Amino acid sequence: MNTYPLYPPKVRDGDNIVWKAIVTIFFIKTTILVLIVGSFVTPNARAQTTVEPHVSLKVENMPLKEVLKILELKTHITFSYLNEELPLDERITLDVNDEPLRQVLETLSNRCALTFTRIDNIMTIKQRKGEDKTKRPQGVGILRGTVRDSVTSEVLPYANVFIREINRGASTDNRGFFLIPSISARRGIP
Amino acid sequence: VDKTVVLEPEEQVVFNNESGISSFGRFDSLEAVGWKDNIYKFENEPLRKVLPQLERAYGTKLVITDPSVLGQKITTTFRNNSEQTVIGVIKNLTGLEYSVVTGKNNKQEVRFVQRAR
Repeated sequence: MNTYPLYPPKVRDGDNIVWKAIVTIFFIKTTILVLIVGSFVTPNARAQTTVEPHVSLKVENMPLKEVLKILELKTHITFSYLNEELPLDERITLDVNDEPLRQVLETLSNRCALTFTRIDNIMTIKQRKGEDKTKRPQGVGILRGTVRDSVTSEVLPYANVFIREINRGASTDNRGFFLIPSISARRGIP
Repeated sequence: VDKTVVLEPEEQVVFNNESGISSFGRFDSLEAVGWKDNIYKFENEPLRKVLPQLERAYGTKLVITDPSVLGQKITTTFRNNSEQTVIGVIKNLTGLEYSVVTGKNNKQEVRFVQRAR
């Protein structure tokens, strides 16, 4: 009784040569393919980094002006703006990990009503039309009130009132009254 | 005047024989000497002051007549940027239109004017 081994039966030398040729051609083909693909991918990836830089950034309650400076250092983009037009002191909290710059700017745009226009490597920033802070007096409010003792209901003079989220505060006067002026309406107070 | 001042990097001093030391302090090296590398950095400076420096850098006269626009403070950095880019940034930020005209001495100048309504 003939038993066949599990591995393929021995082939004649002629077959072997054909196989070798096929394998070699296959390898050459893959190499060529890899070379072609490689040459397409490399410049493309490079182009992408110049067109769309990615940013990782974690800031808390940082003025917009400082955030822009950090973005400038992290990318090759520079920002141009008119100082009096933008809310440069607006506090920004951001936590992004390797996100495209476009997305980071969109977040800033939503928070501060900005438009970004890119010219060359320069990003110009404008306040979005109709949302100019000077034309929107209703965009700024004040917070005022009286601080009283929870037990005796007596007014508390010279007490400190502080809104942690926007890092602003005031002291009560001798009648327990306090006032915190010009709080941006864009920031809700939780 | 007998006073010794030691300057660290990024510090500058202004000295005058009559009035002595008139200013001393830190400065932004890019703002001060960036021009030698074709870098023009301005931080919160009125256009009135910025335009003449850009004119000198690019050799083209940049004209804005509206005093309220000239008083606007700008923050920007130009690094080896073309004249077209500089003009584009000014146009975008001020909202003015511009036209290139031939001024005195047959020299070209860029005039920024209010957009026609």
